[in-house]
Amino acid sequence: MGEVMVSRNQSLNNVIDLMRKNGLDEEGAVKRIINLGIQDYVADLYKDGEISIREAAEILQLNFRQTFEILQKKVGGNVEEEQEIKALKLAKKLAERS
Amino acid sequence: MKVVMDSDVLIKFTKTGCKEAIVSLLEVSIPDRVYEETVIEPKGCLDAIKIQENIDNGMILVQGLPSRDKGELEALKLYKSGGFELIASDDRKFLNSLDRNGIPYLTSSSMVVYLLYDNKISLEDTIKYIDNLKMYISQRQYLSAMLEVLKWVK
Repeated sequence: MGEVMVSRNQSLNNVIDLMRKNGLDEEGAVKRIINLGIQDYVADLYKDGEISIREAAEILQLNFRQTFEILQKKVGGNVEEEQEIKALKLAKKLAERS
Repeated sequence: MKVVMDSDVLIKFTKTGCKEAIVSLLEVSIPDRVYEETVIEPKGCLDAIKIQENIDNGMILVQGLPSRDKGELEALKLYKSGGFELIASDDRKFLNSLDRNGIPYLTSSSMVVYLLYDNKISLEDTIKYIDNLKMYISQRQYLSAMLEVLKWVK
């Protein structure tokens, strides 16, 4: 694992201060912030359909269920309207046939 | 109707209390990888226990050989092994891939609507199940499914 140096802006300092008040040390606070940023970025990729849940799980190094929970909270679902309409048409066709 | 179900749809149906209706009215199969994702990895969690119960009483069949493939690939392989009508998933990227390969699919909400069309569940239950799914599906998916139900009522 490599190390990265970043210059801190005021908002980053503010968040770190808040986290320190909640018992995290500085390193723990920075790791938490980075982790939340990674989750948000991955959630956006999932929302746009660029990655699947399993690809999100690989990036986040979590299992399927943990990833499902994170994406559900941050995104909900990502099925497009046209995909749902297509599925509903198939549902109708299958029911008529049975 | 025989369907291959992906992990996301199975978890959603379990969390929202729709699973028992679905597995009692359809023949649901899952590939080994989906079994691992929904039962083995989250071991001890209530949803996992409920899914295991369905597997134990034969309401959900675990099929296909264990492999190192991703769940989507295992679901595809199981579908292609024959006898299945479709794959059920709520993952946009996977659905795009199914579209490109001409493989029929249902989403969680359209599967509930299918049961309504087929007179297997009541209108009240359909609305209840789709409402239960609301927090787990996109707004577009929810609204499209509800609109379809309203059209059916008319």
